[in-house]
Amino acid sequence: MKTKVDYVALAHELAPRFAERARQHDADSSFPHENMAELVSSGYTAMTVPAEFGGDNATLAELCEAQQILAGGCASTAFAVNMHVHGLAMIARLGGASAEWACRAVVDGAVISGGFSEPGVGGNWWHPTTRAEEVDGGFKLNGFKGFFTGFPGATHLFLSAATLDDRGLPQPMAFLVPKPEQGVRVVGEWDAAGMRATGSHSLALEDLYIEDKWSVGERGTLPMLFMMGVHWAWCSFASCFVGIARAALDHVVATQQKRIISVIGKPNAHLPGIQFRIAEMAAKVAAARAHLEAAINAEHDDVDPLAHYIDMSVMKSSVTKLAHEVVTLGMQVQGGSGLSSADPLQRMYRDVVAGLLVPPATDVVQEWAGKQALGVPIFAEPRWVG
Amino acid sequence: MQTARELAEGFEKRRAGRVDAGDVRENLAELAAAGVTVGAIKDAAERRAVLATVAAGCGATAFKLAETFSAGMAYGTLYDAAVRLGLAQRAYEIAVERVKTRGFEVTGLPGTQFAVSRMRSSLATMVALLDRQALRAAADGAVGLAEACVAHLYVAPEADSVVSTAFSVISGDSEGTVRLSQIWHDLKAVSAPVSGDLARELVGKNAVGIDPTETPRWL
Repeated sequence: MKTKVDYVALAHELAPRFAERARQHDADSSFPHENMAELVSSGYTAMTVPAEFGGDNATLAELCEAQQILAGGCASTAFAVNMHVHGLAMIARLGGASAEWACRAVVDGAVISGGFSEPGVGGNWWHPTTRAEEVDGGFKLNGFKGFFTGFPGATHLFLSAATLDDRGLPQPMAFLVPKPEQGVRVVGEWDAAGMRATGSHSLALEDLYIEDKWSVGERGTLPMLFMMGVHWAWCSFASCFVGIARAALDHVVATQQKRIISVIGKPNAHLPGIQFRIAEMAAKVAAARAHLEAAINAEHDDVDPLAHYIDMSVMKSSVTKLAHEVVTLGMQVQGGSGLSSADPLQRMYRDVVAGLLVPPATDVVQEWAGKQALGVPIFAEPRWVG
Repeated sequence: MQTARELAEGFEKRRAGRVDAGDVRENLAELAAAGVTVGAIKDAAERRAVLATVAAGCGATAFKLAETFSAGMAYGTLYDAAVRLGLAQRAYEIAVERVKTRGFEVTGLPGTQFAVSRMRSSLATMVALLDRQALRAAADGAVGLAEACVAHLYVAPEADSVVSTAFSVISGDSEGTVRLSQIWHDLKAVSAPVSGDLARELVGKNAVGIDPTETPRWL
């Protein structure tokens, strides 16, 4: 009988090795293929596969804790594999043929990267501008994808597009397809200030033919499916950035416990200013973890889909903001050395900013959460008064 | 809880339009008569919930009740934070309730919506943090107190911020402003069992592994 893997312990085992490689991958903006290979060979990438398909059916809590640990070592690796582990969890819970083949492929070593972001969509992922034209036996996709995180290490692509119904209205769809040899072109290599090793390339989909069998879920139901499974997405996203904040706090504490300035003859940790800022960091880390844990442990099944989506989105916005504040405070504690390329804190500082930018878009979250609280219909027009 | 809620509603009504701290002694007597006492409510989580509920009606009464609940600095700190959370929650409710009476002309403004969202988000984090740290504050001595202080360090300024935002949201609404002024007064008129600076010292020293009783205190 297969023994269940302790994924949190596995993340603790892998993170130090990933941390050693992180500086070089960050410097080169290179994809950490060797980290991804270890994640596959260790079974980490199969964590969210249900037991009936040969996996361990890891809980959301396990996934999120493991991802926090991994992100503390190399945030780029954690964020790249996050697209896989949470995406698979969402697909697996849909059930049906696509769930089964996807899960079995992952047990055999497949790696999924996801592409829902598009230039000009502004975080409104449920309105893909990529068009899926029905053709014999499948669909032909044309459009652009931005931030296709994990693309260099993927064996399969999970992406969205929209067909048009007989009224000409878009019907969002999802596809999970083996990485095609034709029809996908990298139009922009990922070269950014932070999360540099995620391989979040920009892609052009050019007459990309996808057979019917690679579609996931019913046509037009993508927004609803996503809302019902959104806790896997936003909790795991948030976990990557909480993981950075936790690692930043640990790193700053360890540094200040050791760093001795000659004029005081004792570690900096004895200075009140250092203690006060570390206290602020600790309080914000605790607040971020608390909100994340509350979201992880909230009811996810018997819920109103839109209310659920908003609650999870509010959590992600709050938690990533706190994580950013933690690392910013850490830079102030660390002083000038924190800016040095030798100090991993500067990488964390650049990486954690991405938390503010990844979906869901903060302005949309604020609009929806505010409207819901005020009893204003969320999708009604006019959108605002005036 | 239902009893505490009903009494708190009465406290708030009786204090309507006044600028003082409310009828604290009478309120406490009513709570005691209804069985809302340290002897009757043993569970720490229930005590925090009762304090937040009473705070919605009268903060000064809730702070006084918190003093009777407290068994040591760690719990006192958590109870104080629970009262501040209750005040912030009430400010949020008032802001939403008042602004809704003004219709889409105000609720339809993006600034109003975003401000309400920020308050809501802040409250959700505070609630989660207080629950989390209450479990951790059960540790003995300085560590338990530091864990309680972690909650207070976050909740106290966030509660202030929520109430401050509530003022902005209902700007121009004199009746609502009077009620929020009472809440603001309640937040500011009572000192926390552990000051912000001492909390930062205790949490910071705990994080870096320095005994808070060590002398000299700093270098």
